[in-house]
Amino acid sequence: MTFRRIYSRLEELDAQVLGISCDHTASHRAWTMSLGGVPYPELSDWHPKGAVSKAYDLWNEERGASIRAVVIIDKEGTIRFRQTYQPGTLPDPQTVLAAVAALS
Amino acid sequence: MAAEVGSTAPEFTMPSANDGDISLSQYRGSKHVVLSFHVLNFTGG
Repeated sequence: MTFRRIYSRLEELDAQVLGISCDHTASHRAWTMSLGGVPYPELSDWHPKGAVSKAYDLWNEERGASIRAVVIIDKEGTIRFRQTYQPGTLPDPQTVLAAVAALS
Repeated sequence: MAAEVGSTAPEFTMPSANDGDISLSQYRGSKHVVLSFHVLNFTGG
């Protein structure tokens, strides 16, 4: 869980984390419960499936799933950071933290 | 491309597991937003 460890620092930097996948909310609930809960909202890009992922050009048509990625949006609604990750790799929390800190 | 660095983030409203519907625009002017796109649940990705 990349963001759990840095969540309090992100809060101090006025940043809200939103998790997104194309799973149904019921699946999300089961998943977050299995982790003991996550401290940020998990959103379902479910109806129509993948619509938001597609709008962000983060949709893998072949797999029918979102591409693993982090997108950072500033308070004015402008995209300021965008990185995708290969399957099996995870975002570096410190890189994300530094990118958010650079916004302020 | 619509979602490059420097462009306006596409607006969305999605249901969340525990917090009802959430829209990107509700954070406008008050919070930076870190979107974490996952592949699938239970994969660690």
